[in-house]
Amino acid sequence: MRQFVALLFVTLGSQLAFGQLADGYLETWLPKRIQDLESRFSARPFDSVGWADTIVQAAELAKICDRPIFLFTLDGHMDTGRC
Amino acid sequence: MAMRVGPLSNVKVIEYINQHFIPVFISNEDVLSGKVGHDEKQLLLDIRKSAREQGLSDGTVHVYLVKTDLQVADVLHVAKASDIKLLMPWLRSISRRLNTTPGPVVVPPSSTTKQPKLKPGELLLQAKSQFNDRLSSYVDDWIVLQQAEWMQFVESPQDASQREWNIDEQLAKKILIHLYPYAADWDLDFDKIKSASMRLSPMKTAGAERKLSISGRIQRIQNLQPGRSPAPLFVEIVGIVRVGSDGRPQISLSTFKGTFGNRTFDGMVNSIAPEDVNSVEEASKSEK
Repeated sequence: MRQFVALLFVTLGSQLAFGQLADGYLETWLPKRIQDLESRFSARPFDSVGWADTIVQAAELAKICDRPIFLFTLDGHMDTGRC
Repeated sequence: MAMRVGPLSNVKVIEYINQHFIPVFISNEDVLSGKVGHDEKQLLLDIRKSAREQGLSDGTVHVYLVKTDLQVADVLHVAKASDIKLLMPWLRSISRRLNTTPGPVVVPPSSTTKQPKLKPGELLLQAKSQFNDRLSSYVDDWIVLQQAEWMQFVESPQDASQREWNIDEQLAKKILIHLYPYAADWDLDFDKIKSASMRLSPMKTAGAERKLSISGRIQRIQNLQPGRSPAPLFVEIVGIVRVGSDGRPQISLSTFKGTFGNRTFDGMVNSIAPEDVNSVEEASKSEK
């Protein structure tokens, strides 16, 4: 019995020790995990700003609409969030 | 990031900017790398020159309020502009000075994320990650895989008959490096990676669908700002690959553990369904 339990632990341990999760656990855990992260990563409030594509476009629109430009110069990239 | 997470995610600030200004942003990296056109770069230089000639602040991370004649009205460094309590009074005072009339937003808001256009045979992945303390927004990257790369998620690159195999280390780096939320040093640099690995194993499936489990990890040393010690970054991932009837993989990965120094983060990588992908062919058709 002890040997059986030890073998069971070794088998499960080899499955659950990183790098692998048991297939059944992964099948259940992963979709829920992805769904939770999709909800968390869905909000992009800065996309509510009506950004002009370019400064040149902004300048043309500024003249047409008689509105000043809000120009933000940044390091990195706003669209990826690495800024 | 402070602007994106702070004022530019604040409903009242967004509303005010949309009603009173034509907002636009430009990446300094795109200017330096030549990604922006000549006219765009020249206009930026002219605006910055206008600021300097008036004795105003000028530099790489600023907010410039520019009049319709393209002369600068005022400038605020991002250190102050990222504070809503400083930004809003400043915007209001300049609006009053310029006598701006509020109106509807001029450019319809749309997603700033730009999905790359794919060539035939390419596979698109989207990676997102964020620190769990939520002090930063999440990052959102696109990863394009060539056929020789995504085929590694279908069969071993060394021996197609192998049941379990490791993804090529360079490919593992290419994917897992994106499971890295913004930090002080946002540079995605392969050279700082200590190790990266991904392994595929067959899963027991009830039906005819072929599925593989993925496990992997990446370790790198991230240099931070001068004077701060480098911080270790460590990610463990798990995932599933479903091989479709067309032989292409559908990949879903999630962090099982993500640490950067004493902070933790979560992330995921998903392949984009073919019907949701912009192809080079479709783009050229729509442009005609």
